[in-house]
Amino acid sequence: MTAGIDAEADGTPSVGNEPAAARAVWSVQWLTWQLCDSALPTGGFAHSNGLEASVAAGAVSAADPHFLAQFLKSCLANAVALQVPMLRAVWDTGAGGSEGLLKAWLQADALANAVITSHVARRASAAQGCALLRLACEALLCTGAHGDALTEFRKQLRLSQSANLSVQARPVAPSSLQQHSGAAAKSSGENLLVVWVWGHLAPAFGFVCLSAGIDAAAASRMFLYTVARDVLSAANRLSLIGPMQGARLLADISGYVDLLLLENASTAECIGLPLEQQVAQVDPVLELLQASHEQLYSRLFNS
Amino acid sequence: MHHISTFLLLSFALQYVIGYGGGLLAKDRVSVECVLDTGATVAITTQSTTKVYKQQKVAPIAVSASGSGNGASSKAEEPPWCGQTMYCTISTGALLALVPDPVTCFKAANYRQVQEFRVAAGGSLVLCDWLTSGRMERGEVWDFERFESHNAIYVDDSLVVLDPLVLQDGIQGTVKQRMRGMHAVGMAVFIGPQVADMVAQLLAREHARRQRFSAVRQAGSAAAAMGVGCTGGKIMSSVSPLPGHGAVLRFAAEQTEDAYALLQEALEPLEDILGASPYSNDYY
Repeated sequence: MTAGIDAEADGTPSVGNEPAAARAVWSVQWLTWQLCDSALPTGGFAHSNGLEASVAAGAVSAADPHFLAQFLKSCLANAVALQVPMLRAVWDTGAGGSEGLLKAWLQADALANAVITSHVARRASAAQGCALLRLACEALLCTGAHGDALTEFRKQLRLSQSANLSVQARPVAPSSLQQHSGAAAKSSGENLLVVWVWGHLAPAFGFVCLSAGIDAAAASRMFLYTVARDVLSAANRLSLIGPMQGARLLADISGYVDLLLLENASTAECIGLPLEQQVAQVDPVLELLQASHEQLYSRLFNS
Repeated sequence: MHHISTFLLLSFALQYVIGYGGGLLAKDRVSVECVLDTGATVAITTQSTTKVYKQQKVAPIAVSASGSGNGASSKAEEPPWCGQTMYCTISTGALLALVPDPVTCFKAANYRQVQEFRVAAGGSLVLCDWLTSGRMERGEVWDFERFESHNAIYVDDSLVVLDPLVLQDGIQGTVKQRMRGMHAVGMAVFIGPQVADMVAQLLAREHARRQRFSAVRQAGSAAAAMGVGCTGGKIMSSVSPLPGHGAVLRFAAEQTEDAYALLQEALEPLEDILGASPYSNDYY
C-alpha cells in the first residue's frame, strides 16, 4: 500500500506543480479516507456492536437519546481498553522494523481470540478482520516487507480456517455430537502443525494502517471512528435516531475519544507491560448484552 | 497480612479459603497455589463473601516518583491494593471447581485479583468469578476505588481465555452507571471433558432462549435478554461457546440471591462428581 510513495521512486512523472512529497501525503490521506468509509466492503454495516441486543434488553430505548449516547460511550471505552492495545502492539512492532512483525501480529491475534470471550463479538471481529485483510491484499495492494507478512499471515489464516472447520465439534462434543468424532480424531493430528490464526479486526487494522503509512495516533482514532460509525448507523436503521442526530453525535464524540485515549495512555502501569497485561475489560454488562445477541428471535444485525 | 499456602491435592477434596476476620484489609495479600495431580477432584470455595475494606490513605505517591532507594521509601512504595493470587495446575483427568462466594468491595476499597490456570489436555476446570456492588443497605453501591480481576486460562499451554476485568470510575463514567442497575455481576468458565455435558446443557438452554424481538419492542421497556429472578429482581445472562474448549457464562442480577440461584442451576450437574451441588444450601 506504499504504492503511492514507491511510484514516485520509480520515476512516475510529477503532475502539474505539485511536489512529489505532497502527493505522497495525499496518497496516504486517500487511503485513510477509504479505510474510514462505510462503503469499504468489510461488512461493518452488518454489526451493531450489541446495540440491537441492548435495545431488546431495554438498556437503550428510542424514547431517550441519552441512553444511546451512553451506549456509544461504553462501546468506545471498551474498544479503547480492549482493542486499541492490540492494534498498537502490531503497529508499534512494525514501525520498529518488519522483523518480528509477523510474530507480534500472530500473538496479538491469538490474544484477541482469548480475550473476546463473547462468541458474537469474537465472530464479528474475525469476520471483519478477514475481510479487511482480503481487501489489503487484493484491492489496496500491500507490497514490500509488509506485504510478505500479510501473505504469510493470510496463508496461516487459510490453514487455520480449513482445520477449524473439521475441528469445531471436537472436545466440547458431548454425546449429541459424537458422530463427528471420527473427523475430529483425524484432524487432531494435523492440529498440532497449525498455528491458530483468526484474523481479528484490531490487530489487522493496526497492520493495514501501518503498511498504508498511517501513524499510530491516527490509526487508533480511525478504528474508534469506525466503531462509532457502525453503532450510529445501526441506531439509525433501528429507528432510534434520525440521520441528522446520528451525524451530530458522531461529530460530538471526538473530544471524548481523545480524553479516553489520553486516560488510557496515562495509566502508567501499561507502559512496558506485555500486551496481555495492557488489555482490559471495563464494561462487563455491555459484554453480556453483546453476547446475548443470539437470544433475539429475529434480528437485523450479525452482532 | 501476607499469607501463602500450597496444597498438594491427590484425590477428592473440598477446600475452603478462609481469611482472618472474614475479609481483606488494605495491603493484605493472599496467595494460593494449587496443584491437582492426575485424576484429582477438588472444589475450592469460601464460607461467605470476600469483603474488601477501604484502602489506606496513600500520601507518599510522590516518593515513588523520586525513586530514592532507602528502606523507608520502598515501604511507602508498596501499592495500596489488597488482593489475592491463585495459581492452579490441573493435570489430565483432574477437575478443579473454583466456586467462591462473590467479592464485595466496600467504599474506597482497592482490590486486585490474579488467577492463572494451567490445564493439561484432558483436565477440567469450572471457574466462577463474581462481585457485588458493596454494602447496599448503607448506600454503598459500586463505590469502591478500583477492582481488578485477571483470569487467564491456558489449555495445553495455549491461552484460551483471558478475562482482565478492570473497574474504576473514569472518563467514560462511573462504575455504577456501567452496571446499569445491576448489583451482582460475574462469569463462569467451563472447560474440559468432565464438564462437557454441563456445557452442552448450558448451550442447549441458551439456544432455547431465542426471544421475539418484535414482541419485546411492543412491550416498551420490557427486557428480552433480561429475565426475572425468583426475588422479582431483573437478571441477565448469556452463554458463549469457546471453540473446542467449553463455554463462558456471563450474568448480572439486581439481587445477589438470584445470581446464586443462577449459578446453582448451571452448576447442578457437578453434584454427581462432587457429591454436593455448589451454591446450594446443603453445600455448606
